[in-house]
Order: sequence, then C-alpha cells, then structure tokens
Amino acid sequence: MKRIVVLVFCLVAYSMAGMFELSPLDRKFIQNTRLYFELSTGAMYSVSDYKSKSRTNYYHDLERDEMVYDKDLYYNIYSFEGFEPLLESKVGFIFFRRVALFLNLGCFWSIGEYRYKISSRDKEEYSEEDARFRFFGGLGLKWYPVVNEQNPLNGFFLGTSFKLVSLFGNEKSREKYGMYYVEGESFIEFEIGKVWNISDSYSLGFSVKVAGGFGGETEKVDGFRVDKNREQKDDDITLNSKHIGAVITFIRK
Amino acid sequence: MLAYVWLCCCCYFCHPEDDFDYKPGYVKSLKPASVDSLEMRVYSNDSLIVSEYCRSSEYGEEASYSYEEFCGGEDRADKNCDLTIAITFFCNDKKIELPTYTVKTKTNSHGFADDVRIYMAEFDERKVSGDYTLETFLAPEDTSCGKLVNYAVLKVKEE
Repeated sequence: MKRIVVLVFCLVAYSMAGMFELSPLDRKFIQNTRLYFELSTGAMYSVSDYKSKSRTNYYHDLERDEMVYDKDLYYNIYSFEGFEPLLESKVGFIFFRRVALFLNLGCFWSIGEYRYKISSRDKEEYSEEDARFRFFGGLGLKWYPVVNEQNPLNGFFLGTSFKLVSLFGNEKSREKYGMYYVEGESFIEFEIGKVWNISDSYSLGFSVKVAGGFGGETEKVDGFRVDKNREQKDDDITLNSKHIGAVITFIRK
Repeated sequence: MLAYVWLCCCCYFCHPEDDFDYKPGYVKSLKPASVDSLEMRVYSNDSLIVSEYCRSSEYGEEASYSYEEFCGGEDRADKNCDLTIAITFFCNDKKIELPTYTVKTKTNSHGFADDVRIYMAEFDERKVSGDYTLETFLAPEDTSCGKLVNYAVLKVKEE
C-alpha cells in the first residue's frame, strides 16, 4: 500500500512540476510585487438620513380613530449628523510600486446628534446625543501614477474602496423608541492624497476621502407574520449617508 | 449516474406541479383585543359551508378555514370557486356584523384549488412582516365594539 501511495505521489509531483516553472515575465512580476501595509487615523464629517417607505400608505390616526391614506407615508425615520473619528488598516500587495490591492479592516465612532421620528405623520420627534461604534471590512485599490522620485507628483495617489459597515448601537434606540433601524450598510469610498517617503520601505501620507453609504442591510423575514411585539423588518429602506474627511497614513511597502 | 439524474429531473419537471409545492389556501380571522369573541362563516352561493368560532380572550387567537376540501377535487377541476367570508364580533352582549368579503379562487385541471391565503386582522403596518398586499378594510357600521377601522383583509403572497 505504501509503495502505491509513493508511486501516486511521484506521478502527481512529476505531472505538476512543469506548472511551477516561471517564465521570465512571471519572475519579473513576482520580483516587483511587494507586501503592502497601511495604518490610517483621522476623522470624517457625516450626514445620514434613513427612512422606510410605507407599503400600503395607510396610517391609523389614533386621535380620530380613522385610517388615513397618505401617498408620502414613511416609517422609521432617523437621521444623524456629526463627526466620526476612525482607525483603518489595509493589508495587501503592491505591484510595480504603482497599484496596491488590499483588504481593509477598521472601525469608527459616529458621535453626534441622532434624531428620530416613528412615522412621517407623527408630530413628535426625538433627539439625542450619542456615540456609536461602527466596524467595517472591505477591499480596495490605490493607484500611484508617478513613480519617478524626481517628479514633484511622486507619491500622489488615487484610491477607492468598497466596505461593508456594521452599524452597532442602533438597537439601543430600538428598545427605547420601538423603531426599526438599518443594521448595516455598504460604503463606496474615494480617496486622493500624497505620501512622502521616510525610508526605502516606509512612507507617511495625507489624504482626503469622501464616502457614500447605501443599501440598508436588514434582517430578512421568512414568511408572513402578524405579531404585536414585532417591528416591521423589510429591506425597502431608503438610505443616504454622506461622509467627508481626512486621514494621516503610515505606509509600509 | 447520468440516467439517474435524467430520471430525477424528468420526474421533477414532468410531474403535476402541485404535488411538490402545493400549499392549500386558507382564510384566517384574528380576533381584535377589544372583542370578546369572533365568528367566521364561509358561504358558497349563499349556502353556509362552515362556521368557525374564536372565543379565547387572548390576543392573536384566530378562526381559520382551509378551503381545499370544498374547492379541491377532480369533480371541480377547471371551475371557479368563490367563497364569501362573513365575520361577526361579539362584545358586551352585542353582535356586530362586518361587511362581507369574497375570495375568488379557481381550481386547476388537476383538481387543486388556488393557494390564495387571506388574513383578516387589525392592521398596523409596523407589526406586519412578509410579502402581502392590503385588499380592503372591513370596518363595521355599528361601532358598539369599537370603530375597528383598521380591521383589514390582507392577501398573503408568500407564507
């Protein structure tokens, strides 16, 4: 049995040996590929508006005890305005010192004013100051168009990232106001900046970034339910969050 | 192996549609909290088919009727089967009639009735989840048990 296993191993090894022979082009590519690591810290200013459109457009006016039709009826309306200190790391590869592909992981805190309204027909609006933790992961790329160190534009870069953000802390308001909130969203981020080399491998940079959040990520509901203790959970949530900020970046490449 | 997979696919796609996914349609009426009891009567061409009661004081108790046994069967194949639902609320020795609602179904060639699912309940959009459409409201003219303006008929698309 052992001999058969060894024989099979040898045959497989022989058949695969050719696969790992590098052409000169491949070798050049590998030689010009380096690990890329980046750590950033900074802050963003954010404005967010969230609301879900009514499916039926009928609202029970409890004062008059009548069903009211309203074509512009929305539920679970809340907004945020404030600052977001952030910490972000990027790990990946940089090719030919020009293009970096990376995974990013980080967190930020949304500190500011949260305003709530259960329905667009309600007169009562709640407001509170709070700091809420957000965590994100995603992927992105950066492009360094100029690699000639004599060129004054050396170190200038453009970047973009796609991130999935978990909006922790919204459940606090769910318990308090009996409302339903978006639990996560997707970010598309664009960045422009410049890095200055400290040594052959290390750089320090500054960049300005803008991001847009869209597509609320909510818990899916299986089947149909009527439950007096249940909040509406649906995925037709209109979401609009805008962020603009600046970060200082430490890069190893 | 290929022959086996081919047989399975053939069996799945050639078999009458209803055996695998068919869920019989029903009508469910939920008793409002302000009402002592509820009676749901189902008629076909003015003939009473069934009468269901819900007496519990607990919110969410329901009277339900699955109309497959009346509308289904090969003798009803390819025929329409319209059912009229009449709801009565009882509270404080009062008897309150709600407007009736007609469920229109059609029995297919295999003898299976449409799987139309109807829910009748006090409607608050924020407390209802899933795929449904709001058909109409069935507020009673006599408001002795409350106006119950939000007692609605919901057609459930996917259970």
